[in-house]
Amino acid sequence: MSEPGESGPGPTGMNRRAFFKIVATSGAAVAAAGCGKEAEELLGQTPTKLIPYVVPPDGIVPGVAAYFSTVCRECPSGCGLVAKNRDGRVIKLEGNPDHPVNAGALCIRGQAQLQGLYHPDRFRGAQSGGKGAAWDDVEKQAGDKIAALVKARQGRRLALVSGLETGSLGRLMDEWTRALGARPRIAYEALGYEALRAANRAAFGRDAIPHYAIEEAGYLLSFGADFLETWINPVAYAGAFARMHALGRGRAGTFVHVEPRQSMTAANADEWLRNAPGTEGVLALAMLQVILEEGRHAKEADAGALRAAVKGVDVAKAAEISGVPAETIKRIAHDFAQAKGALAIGGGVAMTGPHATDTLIAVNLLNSAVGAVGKTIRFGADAALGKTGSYADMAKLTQAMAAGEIDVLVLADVNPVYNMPAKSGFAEALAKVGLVVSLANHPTETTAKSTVVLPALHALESWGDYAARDGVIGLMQPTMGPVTMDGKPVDGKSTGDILLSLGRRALGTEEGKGPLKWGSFEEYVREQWQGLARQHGGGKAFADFWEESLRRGGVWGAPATPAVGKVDIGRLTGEPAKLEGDGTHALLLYPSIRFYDGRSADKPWLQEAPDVMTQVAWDGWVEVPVETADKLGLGRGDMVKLTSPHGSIELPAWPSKTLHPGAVAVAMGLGHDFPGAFANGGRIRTNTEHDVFLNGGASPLRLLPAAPEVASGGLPHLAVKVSLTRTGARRPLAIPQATFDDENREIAEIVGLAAAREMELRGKSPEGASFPSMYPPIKYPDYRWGMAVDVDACTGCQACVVACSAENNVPVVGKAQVAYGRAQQWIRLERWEKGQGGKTNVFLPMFCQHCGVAPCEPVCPVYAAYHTAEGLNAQVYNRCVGTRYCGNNCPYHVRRFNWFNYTWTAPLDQQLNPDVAVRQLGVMEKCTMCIQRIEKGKNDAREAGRAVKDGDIQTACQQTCPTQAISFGNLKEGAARVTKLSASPRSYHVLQQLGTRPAVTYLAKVVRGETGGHGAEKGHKA
Amino acid sequence: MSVATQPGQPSWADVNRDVARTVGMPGNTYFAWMCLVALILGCGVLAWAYQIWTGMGAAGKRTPQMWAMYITTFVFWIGIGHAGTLISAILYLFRAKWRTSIYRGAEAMTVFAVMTAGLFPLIHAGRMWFAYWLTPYPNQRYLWPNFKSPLVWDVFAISTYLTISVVFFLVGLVPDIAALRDQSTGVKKKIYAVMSLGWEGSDSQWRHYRRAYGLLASLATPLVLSVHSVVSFDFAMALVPGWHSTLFAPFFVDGAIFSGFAMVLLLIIPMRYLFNWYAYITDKHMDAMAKLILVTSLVLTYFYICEAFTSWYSGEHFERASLFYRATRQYAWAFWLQYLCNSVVPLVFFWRKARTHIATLYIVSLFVLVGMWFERFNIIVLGLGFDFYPYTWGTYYPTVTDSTIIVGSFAWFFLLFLGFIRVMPSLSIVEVKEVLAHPLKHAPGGRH
Repeated sequence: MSEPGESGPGPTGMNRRAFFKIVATSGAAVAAAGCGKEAEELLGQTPTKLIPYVVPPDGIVPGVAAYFSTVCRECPSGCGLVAKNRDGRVIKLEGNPDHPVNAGALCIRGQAQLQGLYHPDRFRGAQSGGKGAAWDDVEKQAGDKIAALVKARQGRRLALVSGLETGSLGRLMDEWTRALGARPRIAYEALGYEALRAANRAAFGRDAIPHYAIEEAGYLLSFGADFLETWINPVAYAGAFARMHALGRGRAGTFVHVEPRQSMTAANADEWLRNAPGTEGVLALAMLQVILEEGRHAKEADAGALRAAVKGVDVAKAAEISGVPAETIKRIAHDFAQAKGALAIGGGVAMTGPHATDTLIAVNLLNSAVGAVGKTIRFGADAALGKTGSYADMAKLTQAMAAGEIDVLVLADVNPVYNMPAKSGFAEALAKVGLVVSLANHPTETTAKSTVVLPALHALESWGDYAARDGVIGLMQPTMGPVTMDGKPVDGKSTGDILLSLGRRALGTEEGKGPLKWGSFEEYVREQWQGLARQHGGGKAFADFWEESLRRGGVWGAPATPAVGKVDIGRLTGEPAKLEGDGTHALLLYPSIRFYDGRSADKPWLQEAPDVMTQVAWDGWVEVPVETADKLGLGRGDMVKLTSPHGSIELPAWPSKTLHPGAVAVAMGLGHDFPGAFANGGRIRTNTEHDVFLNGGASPLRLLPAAPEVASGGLPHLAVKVSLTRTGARRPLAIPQATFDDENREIAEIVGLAAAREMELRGKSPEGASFPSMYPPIKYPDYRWGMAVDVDACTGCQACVVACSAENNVPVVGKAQVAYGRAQQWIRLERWEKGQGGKTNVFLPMFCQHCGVAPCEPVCPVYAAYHTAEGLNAQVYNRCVGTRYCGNNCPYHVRRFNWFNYTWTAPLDQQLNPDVAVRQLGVMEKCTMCIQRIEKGKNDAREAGRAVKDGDIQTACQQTCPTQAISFGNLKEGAARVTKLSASPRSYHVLQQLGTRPAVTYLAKVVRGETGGHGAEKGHKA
Repeated sequence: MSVATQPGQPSWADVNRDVARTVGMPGNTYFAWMCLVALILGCGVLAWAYQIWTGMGAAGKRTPQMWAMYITTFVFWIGIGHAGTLISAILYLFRAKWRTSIYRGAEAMTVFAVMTAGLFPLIHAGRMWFAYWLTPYPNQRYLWPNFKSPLVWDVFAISTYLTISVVFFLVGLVPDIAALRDQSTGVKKKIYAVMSLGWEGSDSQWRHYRRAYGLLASLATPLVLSVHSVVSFDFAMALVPGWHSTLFAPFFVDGAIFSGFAMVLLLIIPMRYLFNWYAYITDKHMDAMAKLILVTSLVLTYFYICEAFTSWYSGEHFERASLFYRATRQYAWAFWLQYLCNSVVPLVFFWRKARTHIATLYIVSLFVLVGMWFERFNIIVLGLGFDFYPYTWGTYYPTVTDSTIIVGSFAWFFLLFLGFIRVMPSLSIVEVKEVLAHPLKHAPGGRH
């Protein structure tokens, strides 16, 4: 070390100040590493490696987490986020509890976006022709080219395509295109909801997507809308659905879903109608006809116009076309018309067929007929998604590109090469553009075909704002400095900053002058918020308003409710969709809850969380109706070739008992060609090669025609018929769930609605009445931590699975290991087929049950598994020898063994939670009920001089759950939510008869149309 | 049953000579075999090293089969170890004279089988470098093993068994080694001298020797029953359907003796041939062992029936389903193979000629060993495969690594045994002489 007082770098290449800084922040690490080589290496690092800020901003105290509010930009929903920053790195994302849209919850993709932030394939710096280049050179190359266009007054030869940007960035982009005389910006979203807007325009006179007040609906009729998966704002709607649907205060709403495929949303429906593909419009009109014929429409409805619309609609014929019996159509129509607060929504396949607009108009008319508009459908609080450009705009741009009319194309964080149908020719047209500039943070198919890439920072590293819906404006702030990769921070700028500097260079203006005068995008955002301050600030100084908005995560106001016009839409034909091609099966193409339109597919967490319906992890698959599978001799994993008039793809088959026999279904989002090294098989284990392959599956977009729907300009996803051929090859799927039949083993329990109501009145029989114990009850002096999982509320979205992995440093193991029962996730989301004919799907999050009488504890020879005084079933990693006896003896099989030394490819390791140990090979691990959060909660309470209150401590899974299906707390506290729920008459313990006395209580799913209580349907079959 | 006073029997001098010639310099064939066995063992050691380096994932274990072939083979070897002690201790106490010519080989087999079995807890542990934590040793952290865990019971049971077996074995060797000492020269003589503990054959030494031997036999006798009972508790104490049964202790002990006798036959038959010991190991011995195999097989069949009946009669879905799936799903062939090998094939010993027909004895013994290995495999791999939680049901597949280690364990055993028969008297000189005609009484002019 240098002499005291000397400030120059010492022999280890660091000065005294830096040394102390490191020692102070990493004392534990140094102590653990000892005085050997590791310690030297650690000290040899530059301080920026430990804390990415050279001068740490206020609020970042080493070892203490700081929280920053921002907006989730993983999809266009715009949920509020709180980023947990620990020592300069974001290690966990949670929903912003104050945000009116998601109220603290976050979906699986939102949780997983940290793996996008720390993605090993992120661009380290600017790229030109696929190779690294100096930023200034690349910017000059692009700037000069644009400048030449501007000078020649050929702005029309410049185009900017961005994702949906509703806030300052969108406005800046528009100012940018204006200043440069470029073509109007296209806000391109692959899932654009064009037909929904067109239908609203036609039926209500409003070109917008309204707020659907699902929570207030007593009867929800969905035509294909996957509102629990991707539709508009799934987190908000899942919460609303749980409130609407749960049995409470004697009231429970009904949810009927119409879709040819049993999606996750359909699996949550009280009644799922399987219609022939493309007949949703026919069904809606038939229901409307029934309502009108029987005069059940609302008084305020314009019956004349409605009658005109359904003129000539025949219910019997509709039943024949759709395959839904006429009695069912009539019954649903009656129930719908009679219900208090009825609401019909359309989406999914219904929203993207060849007659999508007509179909959605029919759905809108159903809403008009029951007077839902203004009640459960509220214009004014219009969703952000109503502000996208259309696919037709992109198709036009493609034509212009192909015709050589575009010289410079700027693509801001969009991936049209993947998202547009192959037939659209976008990729080919791209080659005709002189200069393609991609602003993106990670490689995509589009960046691979771009001339240059200027790395845009991740949304979590950038300033900005985003309005999830009108009136709810979320404010984005950098939650950390740019991620450090290969020893230095990524060389990138936020999209706004790149555009400002590029624009000024093109215009030849300087900072502070001209149309793009702002020094930085942050300055621009602040300026934009001056206006909001006047509107929402209540007379506060701007600095205070700004500070407050940053803390809160934005401003929320109530927008004006505009009048809804009445538009005479004339007669609707009610024709079923005509599909192109002479194939045998309609191709159903649906957005995936895990990958959305494909942008999230590069996150290993999402690939590893199995699709909840099929339980397939990694890779893609095609759902084939079991009838066809039998005929073709297809088993799970047998490769099938799907051929449409526009192309063909090959995928492993997943025979489905539930899919409409005339359809096959493929999820969007896979079949990528990510050029990154990670995608081509990165190493996750230390010692052996590992198949972490993000490019699995196949994109069904290769089968689609390129023509947009005439009425709306959207891309029809339901457009072709495909033929199936068995290739003879096999690609086994990784399916961790061995069977969907629980053989009535007290795993997934259901209870009829009537019985559930009765049980609420009668109350619960005393605990342990049926299984008395010979032993005295276990005593817990202060706390007994426990959980209650309301299976009735669980929709199967798996947000908890990824939230848990993020919080608890759970490694990703890859396809082969998942297939071989070695997945490491501490939670698994099981799907069980229950009830009559196995028609009821029960989603069961299964994790360590923290048994009072835990079978794992006595068998451990070294006390690595032991019972704490707070009722936790603890696992001491340091003590574990790895006999795995506990794993055998756990009847729930929730213990995970470290079969290998799992590693995190840098910089994914920067996401690791420092409060949780990374487990070594050879030790057992499992759910700890987030013991690190329990300890923090207890410490905070002790510092405040009080006991832990209910709600102080939230586990990661509970925190993120959109439907609040999981409760956690002290079971000794009578008033705690968890205690109350645990005593619910619907409560049961999984495998109760084994007498393990779990701390986790499940609440049986309430099923309409089933009789009897849970436990009533015994009688095992062997 | 006496083989004593028949004409044409070897004299005492013949015994000394016949045994002493087995410990001479072995030929090339022997070394070739030793090399082969050592090579296989080397592969096993390499596979184990690879597994330690890579992690337990190198073996085919998974959820739900957190245990698989290692524990299977562990229980198999422990079982093998039982016949030796049964022959040497229990039959000694019962004065079953036919044991004299086979007990030394059986006892060596016991010691080596337990030594082989003892490797498996180490091979099996995820962090074998911490396996010593299972032993109660004083430490400044005041950490003790969990005495509730059957695995800790195993540690005690097996270490006790190994200790007693080794002591019993070495004590039994003393007079014989003294005989070899007297005949050998050089370094060999020195080693034998140390191991014979100054044996002179005096009357007082014989008196003490007899007492000690009887005492050790009495100590070893209960261990024959207890060790495998304790090993069976690894399963019986667990919750897994098909494991959680009071039947397991006698069931395992019987199976152990059954497989142990098969292994004795497997070793004795070639040994008799190679050493030309037809005068000492006769058809009577074969007949006696075949009868024991038959009896233990019948008892085992009874236990199998009990097991199935209990599953059915319990009325419990888990038990019934477990049995049903074991019999019908993946590895159902292994399930039925077990019954074929253990219950059907040994029935051939009801036929007197089969009991002395060498090829039949050999083949049946092989069947029994295969069947008993698969019995443990079925209990562990199939039992865990279809337990309480249907989500995690799955099939275990062996890997190259774990298979190589298993094969390597056999090589380890045979390496020890092959080494033993060339350096130690594998036929008990003393006890064989006891049952021969006394030279002073029956053969005038015979030598002592």
